[in-house]
Amino acid sequence: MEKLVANRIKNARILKCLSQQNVADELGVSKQMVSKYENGEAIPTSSRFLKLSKLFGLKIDYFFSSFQVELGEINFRKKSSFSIKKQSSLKEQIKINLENYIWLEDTLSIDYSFKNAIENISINKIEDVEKAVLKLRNEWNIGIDPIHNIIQLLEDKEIKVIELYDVDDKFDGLATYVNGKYPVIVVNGNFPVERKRFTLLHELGHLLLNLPNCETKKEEQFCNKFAAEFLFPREIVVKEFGGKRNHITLAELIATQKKYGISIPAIVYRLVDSGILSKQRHSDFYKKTRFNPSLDREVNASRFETPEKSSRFEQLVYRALSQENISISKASSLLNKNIENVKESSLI
Amino acid sequence: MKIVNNDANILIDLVKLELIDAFSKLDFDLHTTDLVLDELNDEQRTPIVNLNNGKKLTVIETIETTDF
Repeated sequence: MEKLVANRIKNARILKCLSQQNVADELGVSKQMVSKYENGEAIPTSSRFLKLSKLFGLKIDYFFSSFQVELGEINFRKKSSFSIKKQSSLKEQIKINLENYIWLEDTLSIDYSFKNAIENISINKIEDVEKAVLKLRNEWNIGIDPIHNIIQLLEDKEIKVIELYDVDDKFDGLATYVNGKYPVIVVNGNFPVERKRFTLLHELGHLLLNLPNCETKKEEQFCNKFAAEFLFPREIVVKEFGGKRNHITLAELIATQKKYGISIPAIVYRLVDSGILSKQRHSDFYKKTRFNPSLDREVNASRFETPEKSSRFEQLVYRALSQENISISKASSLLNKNIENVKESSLI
Repeated sequence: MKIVNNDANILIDLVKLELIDAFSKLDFDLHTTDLVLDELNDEQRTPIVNLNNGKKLTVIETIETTDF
């Protein structure tokens, strides 16, 4: 028990990127005392637990929960600008979210084994990604139509999606397996919807694609291709824009953006990739937008109307609550809401 | 008999249903904790704090820092 609480206090401090001295100042105790807390040599008084809870933004339950998850490998390579401190903080944030998530599924006896439908397609060149996407879309029974809500789709396919809001704006997303079997995608919740959709699918690529041993840059290219192909398959690109084109209007691009939830720069990239626009046109497009701020705003505006919000976790909490698997207090702790709010939404 | 209330939810209901007075008259030795109290909003906390001041309910706090 002492060790458990000690670890929780330490991890919470890491989560908030604080030093033992910071915590000591906040509690009005010595740094040595905080160190004792973290080594399991002393345990805080209840009033200090309350202070810790406020300082860390975590409910009291957190400090006493013995349910913990094992995160798979997390690759921070593309976030090289992230300090170790920030990486550790991010890991703790993800862990807390997943602990709650998996605990809840356990409580509801939800168990499943995720199957990767495209693990047998080995990716060696960029064209292989197209095949993999088509296979996946087939396996998932979604044809090649626009996808209304990516998060919902992923959650239906038993991939956990966690949105983080209190994160560095340089953080885009990451993917990993928890406890060696549950696939998870984490995404920056503050992104505009088109960017969120692309990031989610890019990370899905990292989860599912059977990539060769290659350098990071190449891997990122494969995953970008995967995301682009998934959002806006080549077949559809041709259908929407016809054959080779010399000119494309902004109105066409906006209509496509609204229909497929993909950003205009990504559409233009797709057009070049599919051979509809020439490389020359592509660089013309960039020059044009770079020197015309109002055009640049138009091109980068967010327009897709479906908000991408993950709702499964919240749904499960309310389900567990109404089935009396968990108490209102526990629900409020899982949702990080106060009890009063939870009571109001569970009247029926 | 000693009763320790360890769930804020119950106190919230008692306040909402205006049963605090009846609750305090029960022939029990009533207790709760500072952790529970912290979960209440001001409106809910006031009647409980009053009970505490009137010695009808004890708020348990752990005070000693245990050195293992």
